[in-house]
Amino acid sequence: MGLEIMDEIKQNYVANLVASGKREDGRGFREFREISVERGVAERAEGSARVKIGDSDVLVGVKLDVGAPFPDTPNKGVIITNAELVPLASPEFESGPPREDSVQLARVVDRGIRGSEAIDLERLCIEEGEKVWIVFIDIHILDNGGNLVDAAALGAISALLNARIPFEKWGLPAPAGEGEEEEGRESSRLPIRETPVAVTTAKIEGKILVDPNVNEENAATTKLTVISNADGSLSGMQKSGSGGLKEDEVLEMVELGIEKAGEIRENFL
Amino acid sequence: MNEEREKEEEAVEKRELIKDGKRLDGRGFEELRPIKIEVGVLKRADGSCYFELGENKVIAAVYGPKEMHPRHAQDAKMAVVKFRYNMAPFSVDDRKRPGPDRRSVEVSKVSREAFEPVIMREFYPKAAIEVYVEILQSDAGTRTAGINAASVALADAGIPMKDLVSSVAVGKIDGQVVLDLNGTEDNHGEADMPIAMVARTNTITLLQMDGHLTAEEFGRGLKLAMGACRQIYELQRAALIERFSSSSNSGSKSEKRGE
Amino acid sequence: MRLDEFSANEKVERNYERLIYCCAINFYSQMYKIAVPGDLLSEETGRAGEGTYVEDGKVYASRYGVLNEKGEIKVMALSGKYVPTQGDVVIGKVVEISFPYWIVDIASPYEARLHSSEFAGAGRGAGSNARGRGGREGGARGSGTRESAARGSGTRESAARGSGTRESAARGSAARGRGAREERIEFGDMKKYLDLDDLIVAKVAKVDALMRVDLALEEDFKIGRGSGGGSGGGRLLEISHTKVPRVIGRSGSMVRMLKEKCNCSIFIAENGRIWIKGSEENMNLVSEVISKIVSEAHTAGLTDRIADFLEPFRGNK
Repeated sequence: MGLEIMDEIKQNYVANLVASGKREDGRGFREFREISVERGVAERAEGSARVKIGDSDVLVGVKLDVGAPFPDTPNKGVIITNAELVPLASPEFESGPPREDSVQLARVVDRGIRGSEAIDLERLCIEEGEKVWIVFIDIHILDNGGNLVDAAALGAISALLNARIPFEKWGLPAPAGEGEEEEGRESSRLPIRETPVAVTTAKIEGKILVDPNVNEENAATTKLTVISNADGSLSGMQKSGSGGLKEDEVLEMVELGIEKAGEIRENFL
Repeated sequence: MNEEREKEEEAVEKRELIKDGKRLDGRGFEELRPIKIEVGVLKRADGSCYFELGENKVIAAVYGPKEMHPRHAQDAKMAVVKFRYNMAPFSVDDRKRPGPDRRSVEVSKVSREAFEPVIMREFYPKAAIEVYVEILQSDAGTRTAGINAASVALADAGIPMKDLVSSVAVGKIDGQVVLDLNGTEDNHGEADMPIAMVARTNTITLLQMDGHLTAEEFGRGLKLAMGACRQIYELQRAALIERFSSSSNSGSKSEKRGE
Repeated sequence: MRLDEFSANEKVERNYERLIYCCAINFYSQMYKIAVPGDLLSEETGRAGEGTYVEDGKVYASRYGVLNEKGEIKVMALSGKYVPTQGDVVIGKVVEISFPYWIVDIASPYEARLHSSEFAGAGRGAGSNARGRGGREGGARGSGTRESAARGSGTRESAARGSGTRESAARGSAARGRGAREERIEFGDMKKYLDLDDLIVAKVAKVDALMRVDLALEEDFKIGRGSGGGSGGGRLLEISHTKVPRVIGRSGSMVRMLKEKCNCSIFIAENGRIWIKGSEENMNLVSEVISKIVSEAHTAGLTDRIADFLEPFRGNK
């Protein structure tokens, strides 16, 4: 009961601040927290990246495996995205079967990668109908400082850009047209052709703010995650929270999402 | 129906979801599939609704308000809404294994969030309002059919609400933005965007997009979807009213044909 | 590509026809007007009553039910769960003994409890704690919403008192007998007063903000056990609490007619539970008639139709 009261006090505090045009950490409404991206941190993975946005800390690992394609796409590789909100990351995360938050997180990130066709799946075909590369994107939340989805999505695309296909490990030839042979390592990069970036905005007291931190997320009635590409097109969207949005609010959030994605892409990808 | 499906699949092979300005099932770009609504179809549930959208067949049932378990999850100030979207194993061509999968978990979550802004939960502190949507037959747009059915079932159960919620999806096929994708169109299309909305206030309570759209296509698609939601709202409302128009009928049928 | 740009499109015209058909249904098919949540009812916010809410200077329906615009603007719900309010008279069933309380099911999402001290000082408990108008104590109501409880005059009284024959079963005798002793009831004694499945008539004494419901015993509180032909020859019927006003009728007209024509005693409680007593045949008749009233509650002219239906039964036996 004590925890509930604390949350409510925090929520009211944040809401009042926003109503008067300010944010808890002094940011502008259109400002992201400090972002850092570190690639290649998990050496057993084929690709990896660690992303921090403010206090949020996410590690994404990409592993590649060889397996059978889906029957309706016999000549395309497979993407499988998973997210774990491990208990050490937050007092609210528990061990056990995946909760709806982690399922949503994984599926939204997956949607962005898939919708943008960031990975050229046809280039991951080894033997049509029999063998293709399976790309596992595993998102590991280490610290929940709010807005995990943007950090996870940035981590995913960074890890993918960093990933190399371990074709030698599987005794397979490099994918057609790639073959980047570096000394001692006969592997080649994943065929990545787009860089989707997720940007989440929250609505608090009728105002729209980008990159909500944990307290802002709790105070917000609604959030919209917009995933956009380098050419300004959209490859995913998800509204979450118990509130509603008007059409003009949605359009504003989409525009802001595309703009901020451009900035992040320029600085980190 | 199977013959039509085969023809559709063939056309798709040739990458033709649109032929001569019409979709494979004959609809125009801005046309909804036929809709049928029956109110109060289940005897045990506190509220229920059977809903058809094209080949989709769904049932929504509402139980509650009722005691909320587990106790520690009770909210001292208002009712907790629980929403469970589930597909029957026989609802799709390739049998779906029974039980929740990740997709159902996500659909359940966003569906619940679509209703939270309208249900007046403060009338039932510490209680639970349970909504169950079962998909009996699926042909794309099941979550939208489920939300439409759930709205009617909630009203039928006497749950106090500010408004009904209406839902539809738009998508893109062969480069064209269209309303209410069917299964074939969804499988081979370029984008799928379900929304839910309160018709009275034009407030959007569910919004998802899957696939690829330009910002301009998105804006157009959103407007198209919002207009269709308003149409669906009229049908939901008429079904609820017509339910009591004949002289004796607690639980009788009320049909609203779509076309 | 907006809808109105396609007015020439025949498919859209068909949509339009469909909409007009819907509006026609709305207009022609109502005997009473039915309201659906979100319907705009009025701009006279001062008249907003039960089943409505006020937003931006307008009154909207918050329930699915029959619209009543005489005096206050109300939507009488046709379904929904009973939520106890202070002052309500209910029929409850004991479901648990949890010293010093009996836990009582009152056909609501909320359970009620009866403290064993209600027995010390017979009759004193009945209603003595339950003065005061209806209205939940410290109830949580969301801002901007206003639902005032519907309190019809006269009808309430006939429900609570059940004018006519009064049940004499266990006429508080257990309590009266021990009334002289002001001692507490011990843990082991509780069953002797009220056991599981006992039915009681009680008044809702208090509902707090955490939805804890306290009951106070009415006189003649004990009316039997179980439902359907319990001991004492009576029967318990359960209907939706939303239909109670219809079964009572304006100024009690409906229930009075039922009692006379069917020769049964009928006690209707706020929470939709009805205790009837009479011959098997007559109780069957009452049960049938109440079913009919419940399924036609949304229609006009119901009292007359029921009167016609009962004509052949001029107070059997």
